[in-house]
Amino acid sequence: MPDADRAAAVAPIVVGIGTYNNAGTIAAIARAVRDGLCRDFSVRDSRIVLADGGSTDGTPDLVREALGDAAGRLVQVGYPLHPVDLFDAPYHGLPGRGRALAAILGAARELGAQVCTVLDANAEGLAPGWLAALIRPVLDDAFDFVAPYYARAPHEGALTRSIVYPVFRALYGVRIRQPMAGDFSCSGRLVEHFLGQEGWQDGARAVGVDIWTTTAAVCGGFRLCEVALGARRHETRGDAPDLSMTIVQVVGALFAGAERRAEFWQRVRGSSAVPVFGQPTEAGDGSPIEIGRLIEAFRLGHRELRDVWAAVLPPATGVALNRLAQADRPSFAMDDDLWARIIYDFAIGHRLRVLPADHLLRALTPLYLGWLAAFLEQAGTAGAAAVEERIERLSLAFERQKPYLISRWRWPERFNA
Amino acid sequence: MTIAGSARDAHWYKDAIIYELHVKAFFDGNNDGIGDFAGLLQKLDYLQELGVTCLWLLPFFPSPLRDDGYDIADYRNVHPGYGTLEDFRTFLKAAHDRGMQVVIELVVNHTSDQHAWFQRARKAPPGSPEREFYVWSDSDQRYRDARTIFVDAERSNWTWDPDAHAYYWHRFFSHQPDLNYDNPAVLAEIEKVMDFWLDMGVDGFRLDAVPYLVEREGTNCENLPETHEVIRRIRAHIDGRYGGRMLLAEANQPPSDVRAYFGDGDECHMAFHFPLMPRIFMALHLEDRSPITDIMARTPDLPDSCQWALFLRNHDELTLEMMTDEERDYMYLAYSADPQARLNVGIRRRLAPLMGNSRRRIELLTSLLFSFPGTPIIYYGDEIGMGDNVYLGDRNGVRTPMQWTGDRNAGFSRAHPARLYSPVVMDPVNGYQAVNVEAQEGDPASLLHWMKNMISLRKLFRVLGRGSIEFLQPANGKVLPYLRRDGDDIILCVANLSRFTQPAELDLSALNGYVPVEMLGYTEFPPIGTLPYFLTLGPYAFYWFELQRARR
Amino acid sequence: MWDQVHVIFNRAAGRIVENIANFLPGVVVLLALLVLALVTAVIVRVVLYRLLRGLDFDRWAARSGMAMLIDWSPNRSPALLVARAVQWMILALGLLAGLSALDAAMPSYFAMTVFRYIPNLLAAVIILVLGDLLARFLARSVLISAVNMQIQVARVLSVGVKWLVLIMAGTMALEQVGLGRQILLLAFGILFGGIVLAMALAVGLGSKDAVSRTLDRQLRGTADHRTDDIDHV
Repeated sequence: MPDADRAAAVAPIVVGIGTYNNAGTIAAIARAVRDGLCRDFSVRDSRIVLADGGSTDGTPDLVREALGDAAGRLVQVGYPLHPVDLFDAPYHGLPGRGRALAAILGAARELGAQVCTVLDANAEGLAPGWLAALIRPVLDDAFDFVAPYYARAPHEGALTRSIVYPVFRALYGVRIRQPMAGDFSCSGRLVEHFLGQEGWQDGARAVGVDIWTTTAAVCGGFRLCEVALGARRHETRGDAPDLSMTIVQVVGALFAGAERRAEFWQRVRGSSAVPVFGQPTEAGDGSPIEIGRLIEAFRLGHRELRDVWAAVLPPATGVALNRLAQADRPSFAMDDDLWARIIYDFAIGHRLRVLPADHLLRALTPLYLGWLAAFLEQAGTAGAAAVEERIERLSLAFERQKPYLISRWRWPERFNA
Repeated sequence: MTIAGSARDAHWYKDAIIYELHVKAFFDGNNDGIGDFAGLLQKLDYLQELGVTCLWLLPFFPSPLRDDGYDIADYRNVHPGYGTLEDFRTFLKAAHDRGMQVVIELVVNHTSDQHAWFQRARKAPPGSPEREFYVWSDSDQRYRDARTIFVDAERSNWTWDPDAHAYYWHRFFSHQPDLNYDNPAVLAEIEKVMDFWLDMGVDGFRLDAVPYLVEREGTNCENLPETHEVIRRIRAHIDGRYGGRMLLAEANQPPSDVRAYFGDGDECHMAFHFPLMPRIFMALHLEDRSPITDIMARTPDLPDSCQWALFLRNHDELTLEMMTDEERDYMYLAYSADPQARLNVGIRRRLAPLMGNSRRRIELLTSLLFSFPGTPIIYYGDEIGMGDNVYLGDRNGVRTPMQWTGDRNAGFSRAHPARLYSPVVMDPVNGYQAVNVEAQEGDPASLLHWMKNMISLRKLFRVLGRGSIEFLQPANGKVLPYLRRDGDDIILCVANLSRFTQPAELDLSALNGYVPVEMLGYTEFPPIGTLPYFLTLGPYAFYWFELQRARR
Repeated sequence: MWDQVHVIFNRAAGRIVENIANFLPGVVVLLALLVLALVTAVIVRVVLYRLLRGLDFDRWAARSGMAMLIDWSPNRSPALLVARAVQWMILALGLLAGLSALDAAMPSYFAMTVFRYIPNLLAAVIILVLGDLLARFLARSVLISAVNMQIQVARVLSVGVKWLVLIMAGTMALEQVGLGRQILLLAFGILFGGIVLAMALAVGLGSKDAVSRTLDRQLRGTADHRTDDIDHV
């Protein structure tokens, strides 16, 4: 490549989107990206990297069309999509997301990007201001990783609230609300780090690549921050997996990461907040969810899956769950420490391969629904501040119970076996 | 085709946990009574479960087996009893697939008298290149200052060869003539042999009997500068062609002499710490830490790329050569009341019987092995507390078949018991019916599970392999406390060498403000202040603490 | 009279010679086929054994719970067992082909039936072992899935699936062996039908309330949030 071309090929700002048949939402996103780049940055300095897995609904053309005169800034790369990816519908809706991300990061490195922002192709109602919010902290304040901080209704994102966030925070000592968000920014330095990581290939293969990247950023000692992006709306796809499959993917990725990074997190104590840019807003209450049905689901799980649970949970937890199964609506409450220990015991069961990982994680579903019921019962209508306070208390319980996890991790109690 | 080494980190041996095993003794895949590579392949999952990261195989080359394979008759093949080269390749690949490195034994000092080189040499005329592969003499009076090592078996280092009409030189048995490293063709041949195995993907060599390579008149013929030159050339040869391979020197010498085998990081990567091992046993029996602290004080620092190899027991006798006469007498009295257990200058017993089968003592010694600076080596069977048989000749008593189950032949083989290369251990305490893998896997409180936990714990803390060591000197001499440091990681280890509960007052004022967290159970202890830190240790107790900075 | 004796003797001798002449090529063919089969069998055994060893078949067998297979096999190596079984099968085929060349109908028919039986027997054993493994795995999987789908009769479903797989495996195994085909089909049909009917009844009775509630809700037109419709992540 001649020098002149190479100079032209360099772009400080790279916005990457991974797509596979996203015709429904992609045009709006492309327009929002174009507007955002035009408004806040020089379009000349930026490139939009589209990693497409071979869409059959004309997604790339829609992007080109929507970008209009900025189409010259588009860099399209492909990523290999294996038949397995399509068979295994991922929770985030993008089959082969790990490889799509690898393609985007690889392109960002080629382009010599100072900042690489990755957007989720399923997002709806993307305000142009988002882009600047995600990019600015890297360019202006030399942060390496920008995670989004969404406002969510009490009954939404409960898996993140009840498991991913508290476990991530307790393990890695960093308070990031959305450790596995599909939208984030990273610096050029961090792009290098990701691509140079030992085990990047494994990470890129996993469904839960987003938690892999966040974990790598934390363990690499990079500067992290959050930006408040308001409400998050995502198109729900018809092929989204059901709750228990989502749990298998999300919690499985979290646990697998913990196994890989045991050396790191076992030395971390306490946790600290990261800087937050922007003002967190309050999300509406959303439509209510019927708590009674959640409790019913929990009771059914308790009745039928007790034996499976007993393979990982200690007797004391079993007794506590028996008591909970007999409790009625107003007094249906799950102790925070109990919940933390349950999750930790599942993590240890996952590590010791007590059951096939798929069975183990799917068996967690009724327990999660039980927790959700208790949580909504207490904080469902109490407003965002109460929810925040509730989650803070839960997170502290996870931090308090961390020695429980470490001691069992290091010296597994094999009485159940 | 050259197959790359399996380790990603060039210094992999510093974090390794090595498992020493004899193919012959591990598992018999074809039921002929002798263990083989096919059997070892089937047991790789067991080793992976155990958590070891590196396998060290004792010699498996074609050999008349008059010194258990250390008399090699062909460097480039596998003893037919153990399988074929193809079997070895399959095994090597399977081990690498499981993330385990493989180190093989290479005896470079001598060959078997059956080796083609020797057969050629004795028939070649004196002075010819073929003849000069070995060390010949017309009289048995040369190199008189060199000691005889196998005093129980050999009277001289020279033996008359009627075919050659000359004496040949041997530092060990008379059927093991020494190679002549003054002949450049010998080194060239040995390098070719190394290439043969390294090309296959082998991750390293243990160099047997390395101090004796070269002989010079008027010296004791050990640790000569010429010997070091040979090792340097071997290392340069390997470094020039391969990455991530390791040389482990067997030099049973005092620490200052062993230090020379690391060179300036341009000779061996690792060497055994021979003098430390018997002193650990001695300190335990004396219930006094000074033998250990003394020898560690006399242990020199190593170049950055180098590492000590630590072990409690191995395939040889517990060697007492590196002790004073008085220390040796003490060791004999303490650990081998039965003269049958003595051999050459050492005691031929396994770990568990030496410890009087005390779980606590075994655990204490293993904790020392895992927390001293160096790479630990576990001898096969010691992870379950296997027994020995001192009534088998030579060192065969510690080389009996691995005890897998309580079935016939300890589950090692289905051959007729009389066909086994060695009888299994059958005593009622350590025999296979009482001590075997199958039983211990089912018992959550077994030594095997304890070992698994300890190995995985040790792998979590690189400081244990790489950190520096500093001994504390509390008034109570029965307590052995030491600090391990590597960057910000600090670990405090405290061991009670006594049979009874002991108090210890540790001067930790330099670490004021740190919080000791017991590593096994992650239990927080009171923070360290300026006053002496007081601990009570139960019989043979050991504590490992990670020192954490107090919470903000 | 001597002439007649001579003629008859000549005729008999001719017939014997003729018979022998007819018979001999068959023997030669038999021998040739046997040698050929022997050579092929040995080659196939060696190649197959090496191939299986290369594929780590022994460890795979040990891991997939075929302990029984290991106990049976010579030298604890299922690879060797398989290789030897194939070798003997080829030899047997060679023998059969040779016998048919001899035109000895009786023994070949008998041999055919016997030898045709062996692979079926092997297949039956393998089907049974795999069926048992599959049944246990599927039972737990179905139990968890059913609970997560909030099916009240999860346990019944799980047990049903387990027995279904076991019965299927058993039937398939017997089918392989070729025992009482008619009876089996009939019995299987009855059993299978019975189980389906029982399960349908159980599900129907058990979830009667749930169904009526759902219908109720739909009739009243109230929106009900199913747990799967919420964004949990």
